Amino acid sequence: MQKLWAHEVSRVFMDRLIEEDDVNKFTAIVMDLLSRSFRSGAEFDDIYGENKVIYSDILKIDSGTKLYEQIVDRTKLMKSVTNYLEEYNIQSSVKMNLVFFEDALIHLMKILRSLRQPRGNIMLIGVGGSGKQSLIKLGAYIYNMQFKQIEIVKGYGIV
Amino acid sequence: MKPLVGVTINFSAQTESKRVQQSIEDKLEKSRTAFRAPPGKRIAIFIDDINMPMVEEYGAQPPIELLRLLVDRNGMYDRKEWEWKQVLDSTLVIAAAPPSGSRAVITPRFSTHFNVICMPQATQGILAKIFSSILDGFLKAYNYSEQVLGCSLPIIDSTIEIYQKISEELRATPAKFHYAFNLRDVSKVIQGILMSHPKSI
Repeated sequence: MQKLWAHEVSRVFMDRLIEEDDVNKFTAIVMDLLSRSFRSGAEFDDIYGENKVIYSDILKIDSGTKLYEQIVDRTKLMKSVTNYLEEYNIQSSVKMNLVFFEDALIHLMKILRSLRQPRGNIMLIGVGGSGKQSLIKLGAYIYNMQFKQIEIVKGYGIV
Repeated sequence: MKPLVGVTINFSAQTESKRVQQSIEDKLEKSRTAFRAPPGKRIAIFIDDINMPMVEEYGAQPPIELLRLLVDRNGMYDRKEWEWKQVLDSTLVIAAAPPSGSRAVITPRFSTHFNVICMPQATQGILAKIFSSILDGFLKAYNYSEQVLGCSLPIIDSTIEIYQKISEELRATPAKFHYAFNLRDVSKVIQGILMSHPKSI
């Protein structure tokens, strides 16, 4: 439960921070609260270390319960995501050729979390070509959602 | 008493008095002598962020002056026919956050016309009560173990504390204007925890 809490506050608050200093401040507060209020012995590396705490239901989407669980096994996650990508490429006319490096995986998990929530919303900020569109498309496909894109052009307005 | 219909108008720093008058007139029906609510109805005009409009050269906010005239004299000038027109069957309800940044202090000449209700920021106790009701209800309904139920209090307290600390320490600046945290974020955390299942804890 402590890990889930740490994960959720990190998603809501930490993902918005854009400077390393701020992130460090934030993680310090989280660690302090974990030991003070939860009386947990969790170390920094348990939460934000090499194998970051990530919760998602991606491994159990088809099982009906959509179990939102901690993802411990990264290879399993990798396999599942690659499977979804293959399926997507079979069905879609435009193929995506993605390499899932650690950050891409984590971002995909964050996107899935937001897509899963009622009235969830998300804003991705990044330089062109960093994969924002691709990840969203894949995320929507994983949840069997319809994907709509609004093109903003010059002179775009109401009506 | 005639039934009341509500309409909302949002003010921003760019709001002009002409546009305000236009949008109020749009909600009402115009006759030769007056603007009035649709037959058999009264209209409540709710204006949010009333103190946002830009303060002009001489310290006034034209949209507010227009509304002051409206409540003071029960009418407005018709800008086409240049005639005084009464505004009937309508009530004005306004809301504003405390002055800071682009929010100006509301002139007493305007606020004197209103019954003022102050809504202070929810205290820690109130927040804890709200969110623990939600969380406890969820945990009990899904038969979480005793151990998890015991986590409910730390979760609520820590979430509120982190929210308070973050909004204090990481303030919005021109370079990081998106550092604006509010209670929605607290509720998002709780909502996230509600996505869990006893099997995965």
